[in-house]
Parts: sequence; structure tokens; C-alpha cells
Amino acid sequence: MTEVPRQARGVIALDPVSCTSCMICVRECPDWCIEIDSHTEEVTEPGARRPRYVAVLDRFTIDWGLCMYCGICVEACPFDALFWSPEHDYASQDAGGLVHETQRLADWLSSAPQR
Amino acid sequence: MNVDPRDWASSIRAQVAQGFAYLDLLTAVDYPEAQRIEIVLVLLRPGTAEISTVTTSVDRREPRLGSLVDVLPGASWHEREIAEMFGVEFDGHPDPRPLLLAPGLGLHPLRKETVLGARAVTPWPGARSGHEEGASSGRRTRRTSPPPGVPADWLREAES
Repeated sequence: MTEVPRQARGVIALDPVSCTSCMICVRECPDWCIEIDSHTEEVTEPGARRPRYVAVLDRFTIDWGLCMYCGICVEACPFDALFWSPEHDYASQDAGGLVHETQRLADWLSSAPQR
Repeated sequence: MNVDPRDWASSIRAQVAQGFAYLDLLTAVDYPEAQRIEIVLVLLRPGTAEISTVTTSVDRREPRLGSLVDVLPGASWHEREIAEMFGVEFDGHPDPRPLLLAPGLGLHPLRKETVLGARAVTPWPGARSGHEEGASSGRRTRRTSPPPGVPADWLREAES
């Protein structure tokens, strides 16, 4: 068996810490396979005159049943929160099982060579 | 390399004989203005991974082409897919059953005139601005035009 190349487009890993919920990937995706839920939180830093509002990511999903592996989201992300991983072993018996939630996407990070 | 549709199977046979024996890709492209459908075949030479791309064009109004299944058995599924998606008939295909689409759908989804109706009725995930309180804040600043694949006047009254 030939090994899968490191740069293979197997799955897309998410770094939830880097994600700012900016929605650029969601809007660029030709397949509409990414969904983001988020909310804003008020942050008051000591010494600051006014509070800042920070977007907090609640939920990031990719539906692999819709994804066509074009990688536009990976290219478009301005915050380096999305990475290709060569992992590909995530077949599912039902279509709903192809929707990966935030943690599942973050779990792929360790296998992403570009990270 | 572009070949005449009458020489399609024989040209491919010659390519295979020259070592381009691996079927990498077999698909089609619709050119409505030119009234033709282009069939694209990409062959690989195992070992060196050299690529040979062979194309041919069939009349869009009555698209038919000789099947390659005799030459490349793996072409079977791809030809069935092209038959459904573009309405190209493959003469001599041993098993021309529908492959992916529901029976009686009555349209060829990858032809350019096919309206991507699902696009018009599926909520666009990017319409929400993630962290705005409540998805329907009344501000419809984005998406006044229909998504790609949906004509501008399609079901216009349903939107208002």
C-alpha cells in the first residue's frame, strides 16, 4: 500500500482558538457546507476607557456530505484557523454523521502538516 | 488532443496501446452557445504519471457518442454519470441504467440551463452574521441578488 501524501486533501482541521467567527469561509464556500454560530462578549480591560466586544465562537461545523474539497475556505481564512490534513478515515453510515462539529474538527489539528 | 467523435474509441484505444492505460478522469462540459457538449478524458501512464488529455465534442441537440467500456471498463460509471448529468447517450454501453439521480427526474442537472432551485430555497449559512443577536434582525443588507445558478427573475414574487 502506498502511503497517503502528507499534503493530501483528506479533511479540514479547525483551530478554534484562531477562529474569529468572521464568517469569511462560510460566505466563500461554494457548497454552503460550513456553518458558524457565535456571540459577542464584552471585555473590559483595566485602564481602558470603553469595553471591547469580542466575537466568541459557539459552533463551527463542516458537512462533509456537501464539501467538494476545493480548499477555498483554507485559502480564504485570514486568521490561519483552517488547515488541510491527510486524514481521510471518517466514513459514516448516515448522512448526519458526516457533519463534524467544532471539537471533531479541532481533533484533526494534530495531523495537519501545515500547522 | 481533440478528436472527431467518430474516432473517439479508436483514438483512446491507440492511447491505451501507447501506455496511457489508467483512466484518471472522464467528464463533460456544456457549451450552450456553441451548441456542443465536450467530453473530456484524462489518461495517465502508470509509472511515469504522464498525462494525456483527449477531448471530443458532440452536438448538444442530439448528443451521442460511442462507449469506451470495451477499451476502458472503468469508464462505465463515468459514462452513466455523463448520460444522466448531460443527457449524452453512449452507444454500446453494456449497462446504461441510471446511476445517481431519482428516476423520472426529467432534467440533466449539469447542463447550464438547469436552474439550481435548491439554492433559492436553502438558507444561505453566510446570511447570518454569526454574532448578530437573532438571525432575523430585519436588516437585509446582503443577498439582494439570487445565488449563482438561479435566474434573476426566478420565483421573484416568492421573495417579497
